[in-house]
Amino acid sequence: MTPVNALKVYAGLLLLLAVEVLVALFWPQHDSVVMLAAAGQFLLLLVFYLGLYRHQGWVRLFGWLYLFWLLVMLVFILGESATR
Amino acid sequence: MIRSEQRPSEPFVAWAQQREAAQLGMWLFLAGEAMMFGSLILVAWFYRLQHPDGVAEAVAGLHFGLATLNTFTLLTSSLLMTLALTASEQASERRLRHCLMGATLLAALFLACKGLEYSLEYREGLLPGFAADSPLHLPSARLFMNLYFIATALHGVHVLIAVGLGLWLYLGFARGRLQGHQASTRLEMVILYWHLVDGIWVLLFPTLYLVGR
Repeated sequence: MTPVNALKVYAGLLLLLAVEVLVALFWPQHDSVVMLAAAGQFLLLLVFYLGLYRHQGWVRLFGWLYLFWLLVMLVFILGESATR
Repeated sequence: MIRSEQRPSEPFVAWAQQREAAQLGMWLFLAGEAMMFGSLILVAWFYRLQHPDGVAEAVAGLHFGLATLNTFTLLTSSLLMTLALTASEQASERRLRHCLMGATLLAALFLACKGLEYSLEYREGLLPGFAADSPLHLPSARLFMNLYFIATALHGVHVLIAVGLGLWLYLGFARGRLQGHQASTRLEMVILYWHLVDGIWVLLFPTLYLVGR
């Protein structure tokens, strides 16, 4: 990854952090927006900083494993909220 | 054991093979870490849904400003680690050392802020086991503080290890002990660990501090 691209990803991470904090402060009822922003940050880290985009084979498999785990968490949380 | 830059460690016959094995081992380790922290995050969410009032009471007492600063610190340290890898690929050793030191100092700052946060919570009687007359009225709020303490302390231990690894790499490069293939493999493995520790915090932060404020 070039330094310019690394800085672009960093800017994206900070933007999502700002979204999280602002929503938590001013629109606290929108919890799902906060968690979606956090999931976005995790994805940015996984794909660009951990380098999932440039790997093949089992490295990519582990990447999918992490994403799947994130999905399990999301489904669980949303499912629990919806059936309450 | 003879360590030579000319040939990889036994039983590997090529550097690429050794690097591949190191990567596989590291990603397996990271998968285990992701599962462990993922389970903790799941427990926190389940608890939030079961006891929203208690969690709201506990979350209101947490110092989320310090936690936000800590998130910013960790994200910046991850950027510096990525730039360190770029510097290594471009054989710019001075920039590599600066990035490593910067990232390590930021991780140490994270730990200092976390220590400050714990000390404030200790004074306020929020930390589990330290106050007989806790200001938290609901039992579920006190139980959530236990979960908060376990999750953040466990993550703090991981950051402490990252600081140690960052210093070890910095000293290795500064003293010229780390060079060539071996250096790039070790750097890459430490960076993988670093980013995962950062990624875990990125999910812990909103789960513990932000949602339900």
